[in-house]
Amino acid sequence: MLEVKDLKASIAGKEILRGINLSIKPGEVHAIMGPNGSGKSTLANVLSGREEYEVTAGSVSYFGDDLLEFAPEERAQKGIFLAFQYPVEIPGVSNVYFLRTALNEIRKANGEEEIDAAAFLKMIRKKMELVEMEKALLNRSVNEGFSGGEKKRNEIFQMAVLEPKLAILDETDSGLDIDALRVVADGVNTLKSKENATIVVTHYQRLLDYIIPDFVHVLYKGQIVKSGGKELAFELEEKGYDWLK
Amino acid sequence: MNLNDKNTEKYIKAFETYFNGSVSQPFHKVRQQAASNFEKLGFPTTKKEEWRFTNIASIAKADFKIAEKKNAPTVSLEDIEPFLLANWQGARIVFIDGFYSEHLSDIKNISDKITLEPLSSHFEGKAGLVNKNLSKIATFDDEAFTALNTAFTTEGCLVHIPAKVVENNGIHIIHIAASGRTLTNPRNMILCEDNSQALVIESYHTLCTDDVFVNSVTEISVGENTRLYHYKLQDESLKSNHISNVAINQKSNSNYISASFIFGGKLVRNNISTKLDGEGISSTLNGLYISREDQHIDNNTFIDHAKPHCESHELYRGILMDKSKGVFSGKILVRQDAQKTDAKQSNNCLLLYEDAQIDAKPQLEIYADDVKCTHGATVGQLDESAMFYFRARGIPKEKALSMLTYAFAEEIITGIKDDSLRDRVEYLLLDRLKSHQA
Amino acid sequence: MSSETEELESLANQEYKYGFVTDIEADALPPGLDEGTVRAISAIKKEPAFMTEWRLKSYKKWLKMEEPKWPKVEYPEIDFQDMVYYSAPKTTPKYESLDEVDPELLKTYKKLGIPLEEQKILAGVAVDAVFDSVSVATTFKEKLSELGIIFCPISEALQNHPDLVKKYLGSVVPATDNFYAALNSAVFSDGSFVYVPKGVRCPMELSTYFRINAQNTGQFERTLIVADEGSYVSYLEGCTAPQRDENQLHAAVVELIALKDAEIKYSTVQNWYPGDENGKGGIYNFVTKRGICHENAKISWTQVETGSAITWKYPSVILKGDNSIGEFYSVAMTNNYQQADTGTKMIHIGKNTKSNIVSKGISAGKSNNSYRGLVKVMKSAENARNFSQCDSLLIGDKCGAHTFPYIEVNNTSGKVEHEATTSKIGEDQIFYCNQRGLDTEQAVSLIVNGYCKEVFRELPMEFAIEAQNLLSISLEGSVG
Repeated sequence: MLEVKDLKASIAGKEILRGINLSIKPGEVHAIMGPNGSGKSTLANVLSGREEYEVTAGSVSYFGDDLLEFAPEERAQKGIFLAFQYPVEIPGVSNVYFLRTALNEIRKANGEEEIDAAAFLKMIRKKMELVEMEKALLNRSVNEGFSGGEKKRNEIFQMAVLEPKLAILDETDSGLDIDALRVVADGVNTLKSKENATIVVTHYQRLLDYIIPDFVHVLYKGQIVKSGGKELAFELEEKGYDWLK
Repeated sequence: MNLNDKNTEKYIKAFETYFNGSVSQPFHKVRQQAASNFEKLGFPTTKKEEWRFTNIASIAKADFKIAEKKNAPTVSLEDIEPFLLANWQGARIVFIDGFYSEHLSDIKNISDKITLEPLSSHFEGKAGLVNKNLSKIATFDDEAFTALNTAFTTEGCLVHIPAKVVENNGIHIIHIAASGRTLTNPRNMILCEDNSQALVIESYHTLCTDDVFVNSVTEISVGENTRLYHYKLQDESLKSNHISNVAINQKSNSNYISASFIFGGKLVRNNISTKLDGEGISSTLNGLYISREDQHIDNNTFIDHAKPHCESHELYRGILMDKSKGVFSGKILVRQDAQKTDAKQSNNCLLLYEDAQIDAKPQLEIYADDVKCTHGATVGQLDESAMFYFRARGIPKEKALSMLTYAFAEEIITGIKDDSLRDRVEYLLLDRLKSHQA
Repeated sequence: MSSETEELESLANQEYKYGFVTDIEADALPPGLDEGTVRAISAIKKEPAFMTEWRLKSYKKWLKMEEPKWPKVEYPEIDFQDMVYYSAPKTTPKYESLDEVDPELLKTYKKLGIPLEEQKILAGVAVDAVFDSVSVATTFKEKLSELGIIFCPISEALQNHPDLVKKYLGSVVPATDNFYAALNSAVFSDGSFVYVPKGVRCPMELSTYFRINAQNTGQFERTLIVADEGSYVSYLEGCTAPQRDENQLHAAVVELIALKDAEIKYSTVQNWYPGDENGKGGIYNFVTKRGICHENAKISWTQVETGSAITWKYPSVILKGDNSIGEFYSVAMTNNYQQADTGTKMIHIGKNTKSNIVSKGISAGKSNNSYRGLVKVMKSAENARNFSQCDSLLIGDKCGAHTFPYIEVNNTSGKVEHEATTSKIGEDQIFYCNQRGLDTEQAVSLIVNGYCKEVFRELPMEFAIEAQNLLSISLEGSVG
C-alpha cells in the first residue's frame, strides 16, 4: 500500500531525511526506531503532509497514487492517520463535535453518507470502552486541559473512530506510564486487521513489548541503516544506538 | 489662555538669558529648537489622552527657579553617604542640581575605554559623539518636558561603552536635587556600541526640605548584540515633583534589561519608551513602586515593535497605601512588519489600605498577524486565606502582611542583576512597610 | 383590515433591498436639519408636547456638540444637512415573488437557515395574508398583554403610555451624553418600548416576535426597556440576515432600566451591510447603549457583530444598586475594510457589585478591530469585582487588532482582573484539523467558532446556531 523511494526532506533548509526507502503492505506493523534527531518524527509528518517540511527528492506512492500530491486533509480522507506526538489543544471545540465533523468529511470524500448523531453516539460509545476513556472527556474541548495520558488515549480513540488504512503512531508511548501504555497498545492491537497497516515510531523498545512489529527499521541521520524482524528491537534495547555508528 | 501659559513664558524668558556665553556651541541650536517647541506645546493638561490620569497643574503653576551652577549648594561626601550603595564595586558620578560634582564622584574600577564624564565636555568642537546623538532618541517634538529639559541641558552625564567592551562592574549615576523651589533638568546619555555589555544605575535623591521639580531625560542607544542592564532608583522626598523621560533605541540582537524602583516624590511621572529597531531583540521593562500618604505615581510605557522576531517583557507591580494614587499606562505597538513578535505585559496592583486609587490603561495596538501578545492587569488585595495561613502558624498579622507584600514584589527584586542595588531596594521596601505600620 | 394585518403588511414591505436606490416619496421631509425638521417629525408622529420640547432641547444641545474623534476609526466627514430625517414607510411590495430577488442574497439566507416565509419578508417580497406568523404574532401579543407586558413601537407608547416614557426616556442616556445620542434624541424615528410589570417573568424571547414584526425602524432607532421590580425579560434585536439600507448613518440609542431584583438580557446580532470588498459603501453604525441596575438587578449584553463598515458602540452598565451584576459578551468580526471600535463600560457604584466582560475580536482582510472598555470602581463600591477577558484573533497580515482597556479603581476593596491576548490561528491547529480530514476553510471556521463559544452560549438557542453560521459566512474568502 505504501512505497517510499529515496525520500529526502528538509525543514527550514536543513536536510533531515536523506533518502528513505520503505515498503508497507496491508496487515503489517512496522516499527521505526532511532535516536533523537534521527528524523523519525519528520518521516511521520512528511507522510501526513505537514507543510513546514519540504520534500526535496524521492517519491511516496500510496495505493498507486502519488501521496505527495495530496493535501493533508485529502490524505486523511484516504485513510492516513497520524497519532500526534504532541496532540494540539483546540479550545472551545468539543471532542465529540470535532470527531463527528472529521468522520463525516472522510465519509463524504469516500462517497458514503453522513452519519447521524444518534448512530454516531452509539458507535463512539463502543470505541471509548476500547481505550478506557472517560465519558466526560467527550464533551470537553479537544485536548484542552487533558493530561499527557488522556491526550494519547484520545488520539487512539480518534483512530478507532476514523478507522484508518495506515496509522502512524508518532512517539505515542512518550509520557505514558505503564498502565496507560498497555491501554494504548491494546487499542492499537484490537484495531489491527488484514486490511490496515501501522507504523510505530518510537525511541524506546518498551512499546514494542505490547505492539509486536513485523518489521523493525532503524533510522539514523535521516537514513534507514538497518532493517529486520522484531528481534532487532531487543538488540537495540540491549546495545543502545551507539553500535550503529 | 490657560494658567500654564504664564509660566511657560517665564521659562522661555529665562532661556534667553541663561546661556550667555555658550550660544556658539553647535548644541545650542538644538536647545533653541527645544525652547521654541516647549513654548509651542506648553505644559500638558488632562485633556491630552496621555495625561488623562495625571494632572500636573501644580507643577505648571508653581514658581520654580531654574537651577544654576553658581547657586548649587556645597555638598559633602558625608551628606550623600545615605545615597551610596553598600559594597559597591563600580564607578560613581555625582550631579548636584544637574551639575557635575567632581569631588563627590569616584570614577574607578571600570575599563579606561569607557567614557564617564559630563556631557558638557563634548559641547565644544564639532560633530562629536554627543552632538551626533543628543536628542536623536529622546525627541522633543511632542514631549513638552523633554523639550524643557533639552532647552536647559547644561552638563548632564555621558556614558559611552565602545564596541566590544564588556564591563562587569557597574556605573552609578547619582542625581541630587539640593536647592529648594528649583527646577533641575538632569540629563543622561548612555551609548553602548555593538557587542558591548554594561550595567548602569541612575538614582535620584533630594537634599532639601522644600519643594523641587526634577525633570530628567535619559536617552539610551543599545548597539547590535549588546546587553545593557539599566536600573533607576528614585527615592526623593515627598515634596519632589519628578518627571522623567527615558527613551531607548535598540539594534538587532540586543538585550535591554531594565527596572525602575520608585519610592519617593509627591507627583511622579515616568515615561519610558523603547524602539525595537532590529531583529532578534529582547527588551525587558520592569517596575516596582510603593506609594504612601498622598503620593501620585504614574508609570507610562511604550514599546514599539518595528521589526520581526523580537520579544518584550513588561512587569509592573505597585503597592499602594494611604491616600496615594497609582497610574499605569502601557502601550505595545506591533507594526505590520513585526511578525513573530512575542510581547507580554503584566500590571498588578496591591491596594493595602483604604483610600488608595489606581487607574490602569494597558493597550495593545497590533498590525501583524503572526504574533503572540498578551497583557494582564489586576487590582486587588492580599489573599486572605494566605494571611490566615500565616497567622494560624503563629506569624503576627503585621509580619504576615510584610511577608506577603514582599512576596508580591519579590519577582522584580530578585531579578536585579546587581547585589548592592538589590539589597538597597529590598531594604527600602521593607522600611516603607515597617514605617507605615509603626 | 385589522390593525395587526396592516402593521404586518407595512412591515413586510419595508426596506430590505439589494442594489436598488429608493426614490424618496411624497411624504418625506426634504434633506436637512433645523428646528423645523424636529418640530415636523414630532408633529407627524402626533407626539405629546413634552416630547416635542425634549426633542428641541436635544437638538439645541446637539448644535453645540462635536463629533467624537477618539474612536480608532476613519471615515469621510458626514454632512448632516444632506440627510433625510423622516420618510414614511413604503406601502407597496418590492417584488411579487422570491424569483425576482437577487439570487446571491437568497443563497446567504439559505446558508443561514432562515425559513422561507421569513426570507420573503427580509427580501421585501409580498407576503401572503394568511402567513403563519400573523397568528403567531397575535398569540404572542395576547399572551403578553395578559401578563401586563407592554411591547410596542415607541411612537405608540408615546400615545398610550406617555407617563412611562416620560419617566424613563433619557434617564440612562441623557440627551447630552454624546454627539450621536443628542442627534438621536432630536430626530429619532421609532423603535421599541418594553415594560415588564413587577414580578413578571416574560415567558418568551421578545426576539421571535420582534424579528417578524418590528424590522427596520429607520436610521435613528430608539429603544427603551423597563423591567420593574423582580421581573425578567430577554430581548433580541437585529437579525443574522444581511440587511441593506441606503441610509449610511445609523445612530441608535438603547436604554435599559432594571429596577430592584429585575433582570434584562439584551442580545444583538448585527449584520448591516459592511460595504464591498474594496471598502465602498456600507453602514456607519454609531450606537449608544446603556443600562442601569438597581439593587440586586442584572443586565447582560450579548452581541455578535459582523456587519457595518464602521461600528462604534459600547453597551454599558451602571451598577448603581448594591449586589447588582453587569455582563458583556461580545464577538466582533471584521473583514475587508471594516472598522470596529467596540467594547463596554462597567461603572460600579453600589456595594458588592460584579461585572464580567468577555470580548472576542476577529480581524481579517484589511480591517481594524478595537476593543475599548472601561471598568470604573467608584469610592462607594465596596467589594466590587470585575473580570475581563479580551481576546483578538488575526487572520492575514493586513489587518489590525487593538485593545484599549481603562481600569479605574477608587476603592481599596475592589478586585479587578483584566486579561488580553492577541494571536493568530495556530498553524498547528489547522494542520491537526487537516489531518483529521477537514479542509482549511472548514478548519478555520471550526476554530473561530470554538474561540467564540463563550459568547455564543449566552445567546438564545436558535440565534446561537444562526450566529455560528453567520460567522462562517463572514469568514468566507478570508482564508488562503
